[in-house]
Amino acid sequence: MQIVFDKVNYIYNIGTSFEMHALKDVSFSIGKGEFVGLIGHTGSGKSTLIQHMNGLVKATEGSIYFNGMDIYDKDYSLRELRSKVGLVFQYPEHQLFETTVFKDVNFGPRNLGLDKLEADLRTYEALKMVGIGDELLDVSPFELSGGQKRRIAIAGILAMKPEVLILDEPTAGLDPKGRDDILDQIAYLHKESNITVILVTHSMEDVAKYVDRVMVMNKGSLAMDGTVREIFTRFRELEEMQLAAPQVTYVMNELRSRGFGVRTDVINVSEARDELLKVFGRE
Amino acid sequence: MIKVEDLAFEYIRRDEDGNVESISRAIDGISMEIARGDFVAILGANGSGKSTLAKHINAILYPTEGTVWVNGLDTREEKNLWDIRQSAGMVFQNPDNQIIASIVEEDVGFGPENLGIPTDEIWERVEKSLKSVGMLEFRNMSPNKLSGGQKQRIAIAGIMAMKPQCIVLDEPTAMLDPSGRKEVLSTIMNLNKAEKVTVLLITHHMDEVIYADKVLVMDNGRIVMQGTPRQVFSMVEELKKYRLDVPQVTLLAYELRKAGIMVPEGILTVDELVDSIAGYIS
Repeated sequence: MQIVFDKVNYIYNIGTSFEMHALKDVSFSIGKGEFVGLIGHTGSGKSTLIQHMNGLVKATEGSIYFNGMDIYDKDYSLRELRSKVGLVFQYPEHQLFETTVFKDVNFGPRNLGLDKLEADLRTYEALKMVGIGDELLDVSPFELSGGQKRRIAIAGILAMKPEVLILDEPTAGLDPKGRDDILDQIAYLHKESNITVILVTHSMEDVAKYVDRVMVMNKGSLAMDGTVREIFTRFRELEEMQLAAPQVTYVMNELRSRGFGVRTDVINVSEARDELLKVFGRE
Repeated sequence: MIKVEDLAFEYIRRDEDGNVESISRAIDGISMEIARGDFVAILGANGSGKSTLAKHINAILYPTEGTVWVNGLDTREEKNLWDIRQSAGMVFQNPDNQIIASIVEEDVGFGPENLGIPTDEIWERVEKSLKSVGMLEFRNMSPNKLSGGQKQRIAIAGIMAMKPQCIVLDEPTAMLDPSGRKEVLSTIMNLNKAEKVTVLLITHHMDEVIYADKVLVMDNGRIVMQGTPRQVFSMVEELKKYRLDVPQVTLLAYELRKAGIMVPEGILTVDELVDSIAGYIS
């Protein structure tokens, strides 16, 4: 397993009246090449969890292993961990700072100490991966659209060739087409390069469309962990955690409760359509 | 309440010597009217000009061409500025950028205090606005202990305390989780129905506009579609052209129609779809 959490606890402001148990006995493992969706309401511990994955925050108790090595071992290089586990924060375009697109993406690999040739090569590759054409290389990143800026920020992480890509709400604030474009690109990347992807999102529709496995955080604990289909059939429990299933799940469940023999574990529009057409005898 | 006539707005970019480098026309000829008490939603891709339009309504931006009237007042006239900003309040995307005080009730009171309202009345207004957004019990708390949805409701209360006739909300739920979005949306709907506040809601979330009286779709600085949510959402292909989509149930209904199952066009909610499918089968 690539990432292993073993009874991880994180408590901050210990001993003050603001003491907060942000992660409670969180244990799981993620294998290489998985596409995982991480959901949970605001304050459930999602962001704290992903910050543990690349060593930005240190667990109060418990152990974390990356590729079989204990990241809290005194000989372990956190610097190397951070180049292997790329974390794209929310609104990453706020972190763009260079004068051209190329320089901005180039900053990461150069900072890793790579020689110029290798760093440049990776920069070209990364920009290609996120669908940014050569005509934009010398443009200031600040002149681009919101969706483009975000791709460039993601390219900056990809240029470090991480083995794991963690994205914290990569589509917040984008229009529907921009959302689809970015996620399609990430799905393509996942398929082509077998990179592990962890997607933190509030959109259940995106979870249903893109990920294989869903982890649900609630009040600092890992409340559910399973396939998309398993998780969405437990939509009543999701609601208790202030989450929800996609609209089509509700349509099918409501039809079922009115006595129609439809499958209720559908998770997207095309599945729902096919299932309903079967009921209508139009298969 | 709000009248916009032939509005155009240009961003002029200059180089270091002050020569004009480029001119982009963010708004390109918009005319519209919003009546008192209306709930109007604006949809449009990133960069379509939605926010630029919104900023004209409380005189943060002024027209390059055309005119905007709020309550009959021309936004270009400086003497109208304070009256306009008081009658059309604005709520932005990021709750953390809009809260300034360290106690909820002081934050809400900041607006009316600035208007020179007597202290007793400020407290009355603070209480009433916090009640209207369902946050009265948090009045003595520090805003940084609140969730995103709660903070956004505080920001709305701060606007309400200035007794505006109109609230313009620019993607108020973009940074919130599903329950925060629901909270804020029901607050907005309640203000519109109970307090008769005119609402102009800009959003990327299609499911938030289904309760609006009217939906405008913007593209490239123009209004390209308008109508009731049902009318607008029955044009699935056209919306896709403008980088938008429709709620999942609307899409499912549309797909069923394409396959020959004639459920009504422009279905907006789960219940509507379930009812019409159930009706169709039996």
